[in-house]
Formats: sequence, structure tokens, C-alpha cells
Amino acid sequence: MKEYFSDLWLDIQKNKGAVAGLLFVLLFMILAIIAPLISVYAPDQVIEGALRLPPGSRFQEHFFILGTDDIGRDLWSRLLYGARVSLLVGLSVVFISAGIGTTLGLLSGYYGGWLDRIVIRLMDFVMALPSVLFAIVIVAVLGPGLLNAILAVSIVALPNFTRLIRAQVLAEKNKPYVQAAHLYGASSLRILFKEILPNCIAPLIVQASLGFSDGVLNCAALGFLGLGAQAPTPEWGTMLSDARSYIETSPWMVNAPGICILVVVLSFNLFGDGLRDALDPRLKNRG
Amino acid sequence: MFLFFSKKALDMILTLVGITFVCFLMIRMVPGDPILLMIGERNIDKAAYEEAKHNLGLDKPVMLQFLDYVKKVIQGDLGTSIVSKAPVWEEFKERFPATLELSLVGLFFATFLAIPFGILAAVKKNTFFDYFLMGGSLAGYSMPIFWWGLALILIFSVHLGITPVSGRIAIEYDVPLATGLYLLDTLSKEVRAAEGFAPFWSALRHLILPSIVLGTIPLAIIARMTRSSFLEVLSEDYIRTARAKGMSESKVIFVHAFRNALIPIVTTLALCFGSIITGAILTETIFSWPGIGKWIVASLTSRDYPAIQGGILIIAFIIVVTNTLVDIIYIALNPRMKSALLT
Repeated sequence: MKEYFSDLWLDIQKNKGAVAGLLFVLLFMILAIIAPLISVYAPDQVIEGALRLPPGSRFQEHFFILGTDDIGRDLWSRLLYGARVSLLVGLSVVFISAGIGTTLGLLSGYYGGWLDRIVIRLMDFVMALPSVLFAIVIVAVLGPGLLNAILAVSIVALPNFTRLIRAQVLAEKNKPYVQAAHLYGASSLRILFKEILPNCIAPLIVQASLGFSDGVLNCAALGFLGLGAQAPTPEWGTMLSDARSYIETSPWMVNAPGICILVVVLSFNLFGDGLRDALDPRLKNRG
Repeated sequence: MFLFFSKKALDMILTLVGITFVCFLMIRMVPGDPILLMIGERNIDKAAYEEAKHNLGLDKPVMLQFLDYVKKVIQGDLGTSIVSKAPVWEEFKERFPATLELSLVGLFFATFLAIPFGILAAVKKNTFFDYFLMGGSLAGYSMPIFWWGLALILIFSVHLGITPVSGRIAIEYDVPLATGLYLLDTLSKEVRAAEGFAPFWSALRHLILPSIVLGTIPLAIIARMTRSSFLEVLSEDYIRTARAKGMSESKVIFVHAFRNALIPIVTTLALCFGSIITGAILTETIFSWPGIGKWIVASLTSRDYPAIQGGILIIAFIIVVTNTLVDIIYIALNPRMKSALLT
């Protein structure tokens, strides 16, 4: 297993895009984690009179590196805490959808039969609706809010994991090492989780990275439509939506969260994409 | 072949029934009394309540209610909007042309740029062009289009004053609607006689920013697909043969490679339909475009459940039917798949 990961790391290193993506991903995670240390104010702290100040403004004894919003909150602090929200959203979406999706994919690929048919039908069904629309249906039922948005986006992301793992299991389950495990009398569960699953790790990491970016983007879109996180949560999509009416006079209020979303989503996509290329044996041989 | 088509048709019908069931359940799962939700009033007396319950068929067993609902849907009755009191189907029909026009122009913009970009990246593989175009396309794919739209408004409408901020056409033009597509309707004889080409230009200018915003993600997807499809084809033996024969590079690319690379591109194009609909919801919200996306969001805000239910049902139907058609066209375009099915 250790060898497997060191090989994986070597593959990643060869791809500049993946490395750049990974660096930004790490930077984003570090910033999110140390947000309380490097933010100047609490995310919902209102500084009276400091309304919509442009980046780099001084106001009394305060200094606002990225400016303030329409009710006098420091944008830099809000964006940092927003990174925490995005990290939480991305991780939750990936954990929920990868956890359930992987289990479903393993079981349906391994056992086949009616279970497989039901799972595949359900997944086709989720995929029939575009992601944001499906999320809208779920939010319409559960009501707006960050948790419901996360749940909705996770359900939408399920088929990606289920189909990926199922295909992987179908490819692996007739290989000699699995048959050998059978002959040794290993239980189905052991074969699934100890033998087959480790061989699905690489594509799973790729999908997790792409799933993270999709999760952040979709949750931000729901936030923008007023269906995700609600004010005063410093969620980037919601912040952007609240700042919309000030686009002409205070564009920094719109641009700062927008650029944050773009950079985070782009770095996860860059990492996932580069990793996929690095792992794809067909592309590797072609040089 | 027949087996394949009947399987596809069966799949489609099953998915449609499933979607209908989810939409049917949706209203019943919303917290609160479905009867009050459906009629959209809070304080009504008991007799009126019972009457509404009977009229909505909510006094019957759930399975019968579902069958009733399916029957109604098949007859085109999707219920009545709480807000406008108009039939949901009429509301949808009124707004659909706006979304259709925006989607078509957006998709046209995306394809028009994406295919040359993809070809260029494939032909100049691993050069600056390739990295630049593919980096750009990954950025496009990662774009939060709700910010992208606002940023474009800021640059082109607020600072440069080139394009309008919202709406479909300048308010002074009253265009009689025939198709509902302004680009066509403004070119009708009577409009041209009365106002010349001014309404057409106005409609076109209103379309520029929304269609760029809507087309951005499909543009990225199609460009990447074009590149990989071309790379695949360019490594084939017949391309090597064509080059060995001394054929010019442009002929190799545009005659031999292009036709074969086109199949996956066409499929991707059609499958972008889903992301177009998602994009339309966001784009229409940003540009106050009077289409179905904006309508559904507005219905959500006003808790107009019959409208949400009906709207989502129609969109899902359109998408499922399109995807099935794409599958069939894919088979028809691809002779190899056809023979594989026949044997």
C-alpha cells in the first residue's frame, strides 16, 4: 500500500498542472484552518460608519485590506471565514457522496442482479435532471439553508461515484488476485473492502477532487439563488448575491467572493484533471 | 436493432414515470398542509377546505391520486399557478421561447469558438497554444457563471456602455410575437416596415452578454472534447496513410480527421443541454431574462408549488427525451456501433 502511494505521488509530480492545483488546494485549506488567526475582525462584526469602503481604506483606527461591505463588515475576514464554509461544504459533499456512492458501487458491481439494476436505475434517474435543478427540487422540499444545500448537492454527486466504482469493480472482480482470495475462502466483504477497494483508490481520489469543486460551485450557486446558506453566514455565493445591487458603485464586494470561488474551484479541477492524466495509462504510453 | 430501440424507449418511459412520481411526491413532502399549499391560502373555512380537498383529489388513496396526476399530465393539465392563477402550462409556454432563444444563441457561440480552439490545441499539442487554450477552457469550466455575468455587466455595460444590462429588447419597441424568438420576430415584414432593423439590433445586443455567460461552460466542455477527440483520431493509421500519400496537412485535418472526430463532439454538444438548463437558471436571474429559469426561481421564492412542480416536470421531460434522441442519433452516426448492434 505504501508503495502504491509513493508511485501515485511520483505520477502526480510529473504533471505540473496537478502540482500547481495541489499547492493552491493546500494554501486554501491552510487559510481556512487558520482563519481566526489571520482575520482582523469577526466575520459578522459591524464597524459602524465603515460602509462600502474600497480595498486598502483607512477608517478611524481601522484598516481594511479588501474593503468593507454594505453594512460595514471587513471583507478580508468574511472571505477567510467563507473559505471555512467552502471547505466544510466541499468535504461534506465529498464524504457523503463518496461514502454512499462507493458502497453502492461496490455492492452493485460485485453482486450484480436485481440490486445492480435498481442502483443503476436510481442513478440514471438522478442524472436525468441537471444538478442545480435537482438540488432546487430538494431545497424546495427541505427548505433553504446550508445543510439542506449540502445534502442536495451530495445527492446530485452520488451517481459519479457509484458509476465510477461500479465500473472499476466490474473490471477488477474477475482478475486472478480476486479469484485467489476467493479460493482462500475470504468473505465477500473482505474481498470487496480489502482487495478490490484499494485498487479503486486512484480514480476515487480524482473523482473526490472533481467532486469537491462541483460541490463548492453548486453550493455557491444555490447560495446565489438564495436557496443555500442564509445571511449572515459568510458563504461566498450568498455574499455575492447580497452584493449584487452594489455592483456599479462597489464592485469589489462582488468581485472578491467571485474570484475566491473561481480560484478554489479551478485549483481542485486542475489537481483532479492533472491527476487523471497522470494516472491514465493510455495517455502515459502516448507520452 | 429493434431490440435496442425498444430498450431505449422503455428506459425513457421508466425514467419519465419516475420523474413524474418524484414531482408528484414533492408537494406532499413539503412541510405543511398540501391543500393549503396548493390553493395558496391560509385561513379558509372548513367547507371551502373540504371542497378544495375534493377538487384536488386529495381525499383519495395516494396511488389513485398518482394515477389521476399522470392522467392530468398526459392531458397537458399541470395545475394552476398560485401567484398568477393561470394554468402552469400556459405560463411555461409563454416563457419558453425566451429560454430557447438564449440557449440556441449561447450554444451557437460556444460551438463556433470551441471547435476551432479544440482543433488548434490538438494540432499544436504540448505547445504554448495548447496549454493556453486548455488552461483557459479549464478556467471556463470552473467559472462561477453568476459572478462571470456580473463581471461582464460591470465591464461592458457599466464601464464601456456597449451592451444593455437586462431584458430582451429595448422598451420602446413593441414587437408582435409570432415565434416568440425576438431575433426572428423583429425581422418580420411589418416590423421592418415600421421600425427598420433597429429592433433586431436591439434584440441582438441584449443577447450578447447572456449568451456569452450561458455559453462559457459548454464552450469549455466542447473545446476539451474536440481536442481529445482529435488527438484520438490523429493517431489512427489512416491519418498516417493520408500523410504518407503526401496529402496537405490542412486536407488531412479537415477532410480525414474532422469527419471522424465529429461523432463524439456532436454527442457532447447535445449532452451540454443539461448544463445549458442549469446555466439558464443562473443567467436569467442575473440578466432579468424573462425565461423559464427566472420563472422557476421566482416560483420558489413565492412558494408557488404547482408552478415549481409543473416547470420541473416539463424540463425533465425535455432533457430525458433529448438524451434518448442523442443516444439514437449517436448510433445512427456511428456505423461501427450499428453493426455491433445488428450482430
